[in-house]
Amino acid sequence: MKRFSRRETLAISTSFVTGSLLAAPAKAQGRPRVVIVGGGFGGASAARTLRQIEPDFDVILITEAAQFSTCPFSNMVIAGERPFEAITFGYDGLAARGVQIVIGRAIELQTSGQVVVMEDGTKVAYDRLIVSPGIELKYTDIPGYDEALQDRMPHAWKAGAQTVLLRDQIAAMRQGGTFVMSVPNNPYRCPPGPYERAGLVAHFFKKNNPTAKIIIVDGKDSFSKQALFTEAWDHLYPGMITHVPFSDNGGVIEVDPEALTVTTAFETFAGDVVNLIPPQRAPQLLLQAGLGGDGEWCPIDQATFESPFAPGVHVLGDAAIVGDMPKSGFSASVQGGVCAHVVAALLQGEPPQQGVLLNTCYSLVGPEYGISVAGVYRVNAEGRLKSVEGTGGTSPTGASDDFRVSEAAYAKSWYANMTTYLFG
Amino acid sequence: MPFCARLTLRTGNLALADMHRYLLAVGFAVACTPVLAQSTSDEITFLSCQMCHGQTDSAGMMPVIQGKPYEGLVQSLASFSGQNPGTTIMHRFVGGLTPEERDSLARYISGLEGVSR
Ligand SMILES: Cc1cc2nc3c(=O)[nH]c(=O)nc-3n(C[C@H](O)[C@H](O)[C@H](O)COP(=O)(O)OP(=O)(O)OC[C@H]3O[C@@H](n4cnc5c(N)ncnc54)[C@H](O)[C@@H]3O)c2cc1C
Repeated sequence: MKRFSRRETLAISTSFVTGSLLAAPAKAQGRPRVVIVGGGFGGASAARTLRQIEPDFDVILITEAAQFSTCPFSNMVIAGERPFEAITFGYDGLAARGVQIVIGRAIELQTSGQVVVMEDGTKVAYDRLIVSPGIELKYTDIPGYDEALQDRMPHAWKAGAQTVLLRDQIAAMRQGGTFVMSVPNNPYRCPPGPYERAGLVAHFFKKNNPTAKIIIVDGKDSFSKQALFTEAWDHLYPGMITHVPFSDNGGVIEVDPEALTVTTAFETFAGDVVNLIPPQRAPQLLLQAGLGGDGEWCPIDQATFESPFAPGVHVLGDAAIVGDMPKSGFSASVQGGVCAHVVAALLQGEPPQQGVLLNTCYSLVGPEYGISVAGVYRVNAEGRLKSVEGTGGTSPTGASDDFRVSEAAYAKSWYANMTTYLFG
Repeated sequence: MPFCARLTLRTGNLALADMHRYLLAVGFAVACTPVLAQSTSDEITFLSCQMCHGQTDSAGMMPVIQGKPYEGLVQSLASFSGQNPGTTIMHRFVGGLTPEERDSLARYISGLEGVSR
C-alpha cells in the first residue's frame, strides 16, 4: 500500500469541499489544477488516472449526484437479475485517492475565463478542463413525448430511477402482454444496448410471463452484432421477439403516452409497457459553450481530445466524436485514462504520447449467454482515431453454448474490474 | 527536445522502468535524458488492458497480468495471433500491435508491481 504524502493527505481531508472553497484562482499555489466535469465512465477514469500519474496536481471532479449508477449491467437490473444497488457507486474511492469531489451541477463553461460556473453561482477555475458529461435526451424530437411523460413511457437510457421504474413496469405487465421498445437511429449511446435489453427482458418473460411478446420498433435497418443477437433470440426465446426495421415501419411520427401507442409512418404499435429511447445529443452545457460547432456532438482533436473551439478544454466519452470508437463505457474509460496522460504531459510542457486504444462491448442475451464486439484504434497520419484493419470484430456465429457461457462470465468479470478501477 | 525519465519508461526498458518507479516514489524531479520518440507508449496502451485485467486483486475470470514474467506474457501475445488462439477476445486485439510493440508491452507489464490474488 502506497504511503500518502502530507500534501495528498491534505487533499484527502479537503475532499467533498464545497464549490466556493475551490474558487481560488488557478495555479494559486503553483500546482497545476485540472477540473473534470462528469463523474461517470470518462470523468472518473480521467480523475483516477491523473491522480495516479501526477500526485502533485489538484484534480477536482464536479458531478451532479453523490452516487452514480452505471448503464452497463442496468439491463440485468431491469430483468430482475441484479439488485439496483449492485450497479450504484459512490466517490469515496476517488476521494481517498486525493480527487477533490464537488457534488453539484455545472451550468456554464466560461472557456475564455477558464472557469466552470456551478448552479449555486460558485465558479471553479482550471488550468485545463476535461468534460465527460454523457448525453442529453432529445425528448421533444418525438411528437407527443416530453420529459414530463418519461415515467409513463420510460427510456431507462440514463441509469437511476428510470431503470427501477422500467423493471417494475415489466414485472407488473399482464400475462401475454406486449412490451414495445422504440430505438433511435444512430448515433446514440451504446449501439447494442437496446438489443441486449430485449434479450434480457425476454429471459425474464420466459420465466414469468411466457406468452408475452416483445416488439422492437427500430429507427434503422441494421444494428450492432445483429447476426449474433438474432441467432441467440431464435435459440433462447423462439417467437418472442419481433424486430421491425426502419424500412418496414417508416419511422416514428408520434407517440401517445396515455394510450401507450407508438405510431410510425406505416403502423401503430400498442404496448402494455413502452420503452421509448429518444434520439440523443451532447449535453446543452457543452453545446452552449460552442463545443459542438454547428453540430450536436463535439468534434475534438482525436489525438489529444482537445476541442478545436476552446483551447484547454478536452471532451471525451459519449458527448464527443472520437473517431471510430463507439459510445460505450469501456471506450469512455479508456479515453479518460489517455486524456489524463495527455493533460499531464501538456501541463508539464511535454509532447503528449500516443497509445493503442481498445474497446469491447459485451452484451448478455441471457444471464449466461454473452456475445461481444471488439475494436482496436490508433491515431493515423491524418490525426484520426481509426479502427485498425483486420482486427476487432464480433464473436463467431454458430459457437457452442460453452463459448457463450464463457463470454458471459468474461462480461461479468470486465464489469467488476472496470468498476473497481473507477470507483474502488 | 529533451524527454523526462517518465518518457524513457515508455521505451520498455526494465531498468529505466524500475528507476522511474523509484524516482516517482520519492518524488524527485530528474534531469532529462534524450531518447528516441516512440510511436506508442506502453503505459498508455496498458490502460486498455487494465480495464479488463484489473489493476488490483478484484475478482474475475480475466487473469491479473501485472508483474507476470516477461517470457510468459510475450509468448501468450504471440500465441493469440496464431491459428487456434483458444481465446474469446484477445486474438481480435493482438493484430493491432506490431511485434515490437507486443514485446515492449510485455516488458512493461512484467516490470509493473505485481498484485496477488
Ligand atoms: C442500457 C445501456 C447499457 C449499456 N451497456 C454498456 C456496456 O455493457 N458496456 C459499455 O462499455 N457501455 C455500455 N453502455 C454505454 C455507457 O453507459 C456510456 O457509453 C458511458 O456511460 C459513457 O460515459 P460518459 O463518461 O460519456 O458519460 P456518463 O457515464 O453518463 O457520465 C456522465 C456523468 O456526468 C454527470 N453530469 C452530466 N452533466 C453534468 C453537469 N452539468 N454537471 C455535473 N455533472 C454532470 C452525470 O450525472 C454523470 O454522472 C450502456 C448504455 C446503456 C444505456
